[in-house]
Amino acid sequence: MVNIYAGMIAMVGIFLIMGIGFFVISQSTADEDAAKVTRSVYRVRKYWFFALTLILLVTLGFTMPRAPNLDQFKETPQAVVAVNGKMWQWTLTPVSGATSADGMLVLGLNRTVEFRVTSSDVNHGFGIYNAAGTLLTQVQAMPGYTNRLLYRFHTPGLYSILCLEYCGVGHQVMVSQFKVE
Amino acid sequence: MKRSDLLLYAITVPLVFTVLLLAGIAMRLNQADVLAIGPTRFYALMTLHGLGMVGTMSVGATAGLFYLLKEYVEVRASMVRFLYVCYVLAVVGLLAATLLGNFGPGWYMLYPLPFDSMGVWTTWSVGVAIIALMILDNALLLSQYAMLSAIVKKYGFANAMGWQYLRGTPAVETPAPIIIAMCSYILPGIATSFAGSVLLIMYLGQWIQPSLHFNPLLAKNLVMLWGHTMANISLYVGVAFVYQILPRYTGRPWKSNRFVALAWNAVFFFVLLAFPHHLYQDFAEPFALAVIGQIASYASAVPSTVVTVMGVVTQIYKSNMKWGFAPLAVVIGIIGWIAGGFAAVVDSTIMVNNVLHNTLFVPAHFHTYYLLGLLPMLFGYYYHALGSSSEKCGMWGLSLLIGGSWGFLAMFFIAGSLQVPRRYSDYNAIPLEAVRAIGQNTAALGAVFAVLILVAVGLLLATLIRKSRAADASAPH
Repeated sequence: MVNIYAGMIAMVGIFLIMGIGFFVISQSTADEDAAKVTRSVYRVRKYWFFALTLILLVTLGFTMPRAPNLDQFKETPQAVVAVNGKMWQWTLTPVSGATSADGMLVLGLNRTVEFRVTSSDVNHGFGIYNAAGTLLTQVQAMPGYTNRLLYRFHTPGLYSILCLEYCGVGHQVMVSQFKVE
Repeated sequence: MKRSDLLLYAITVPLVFTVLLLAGIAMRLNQADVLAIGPTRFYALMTLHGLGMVGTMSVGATAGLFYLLKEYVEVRASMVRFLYVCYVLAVVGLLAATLLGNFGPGWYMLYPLPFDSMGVWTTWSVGVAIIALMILDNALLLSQYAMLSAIVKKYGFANAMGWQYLRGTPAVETPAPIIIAMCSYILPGIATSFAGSVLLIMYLGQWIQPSLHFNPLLAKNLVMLWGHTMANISLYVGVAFVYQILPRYTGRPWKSNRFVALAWNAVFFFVLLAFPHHLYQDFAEPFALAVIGQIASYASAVPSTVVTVMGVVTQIYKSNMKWGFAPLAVVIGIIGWIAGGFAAVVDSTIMVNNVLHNTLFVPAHFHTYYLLGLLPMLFGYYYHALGSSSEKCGMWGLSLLIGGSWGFLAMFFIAGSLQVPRRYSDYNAIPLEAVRAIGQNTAALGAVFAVLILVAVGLLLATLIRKSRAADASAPH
């Protein structure tokens, strides 16, 4: 849902900005003393400065602690999966707390899973989509580094991994799947 | 710099823009499954489109700034021509590398992808692309240095930065556009062009000696510092055009003051520190850098809206001004800049970025501030500076640009909000029906709207090259 809220905020904000812009343009044909206009705008500016600063600080305070980057320091995983990206396929290897059936990774429901994500050639992006097509979370797969992504799946079903970092001519076919049950 | 020099840029930049726009339309049609150009050609076009657009807009903005500055300081005219030659060489090099050599690692050439294509692009194309970019990057670096030295020579560094206003002793009045240029374009421009040079030297080294290897995370930081900042600061040049043009149409003075100086000095830091928002999903990067990235991205909204936007409102609100193509285009540009910037701020939130990074939401926001921000500002300034006469043609072009861009951008925003991945040549392998369908349908509609943009750019170019009048005939100066 974060994506929907973000998209709506962005689009409503853009409409609002454009609306205000065209309103100001529509008011330009009237004639008023420049000094008087300046005083009025400066008054609005003062309020806008404090309002904007407040909005930004509150948003920072609300969102920053929810950064998924911090999960690796806050939670203890109940299952660990090693993920390797290589042009143009994913290898998912259960390390602990996870199994594999018919060549497909199987994860437990409502368990915190740690994906240890790396790459053996170029940069890739490990993006997890649910069956409805919603991107739940992602992390980069970079050669020489292991990024620890923690996530808890609350719905059973088939999940898809799409590559979310451009990695060459097979980027769009670098797809894999796993199950949660 | 002569008027004919600017005219050369004013013709070349939209022409190259048009070619790159055609590449963009081909890409959207391929994503829509209407055209079948194949992934190799798609990614080569994507690389050409990305590198070409950022370079072209930066060069176009720099040329405009050169011309603008001649009213205040003396910048060597030879530098303008040098930049033009280097730009043409870079464009030819990139065209050859991408169209003939299939060079396709994307605009950011994320290390080590350029050197590991699985045989898709040729080795020579990597070298040609690196050298082409080195030529352009260093030409921009030298141009920025030439402007900086001319400004410092006349005003002194501290005055040009507006520090006398911060000290409360404005003995020398510095023109506002100079402060804008100094703080938000030239200085970060020099710093990031230098970062780009370092990266390109590393790349050239590995191209010559393949056994050389570099740290991918360092390379990624360098490329984002360079690429992000280069794209971002060209928008601030657009703001300089607004500072220059509007007072001539409203008749209201736009003077420097303490707030203007404070705002643009702050912008210098915010511009340079925002780039880590491209690396949020690299959890190996120290988290402190992500925090700095989000704070700097958020903070950049303060000077932009509190000082620049309010300054524009002070200029035009109840000013009884006579609108023409030039002032309307630059004011539309300011609105587009803020609109695109707002979406960028949303995406710069770490927890939001986790579900929108590398989806079509990203091209949605930067296409907004290029198409509805810098592009109209650039055309508005060129029109004003060249003293063109095709007002009606320009207005038609501007209307089509706004209409076409609205539809084109809406498709990106809708697909991005619904998390369709970016940089996919096609969506056929995605095992999720919803994502695949949204991607294809929005791509098809996006291509249709892009054709309107193509027509708009044609009309705007015609506006500039149709029978020109003397610069001082009727345009206010």
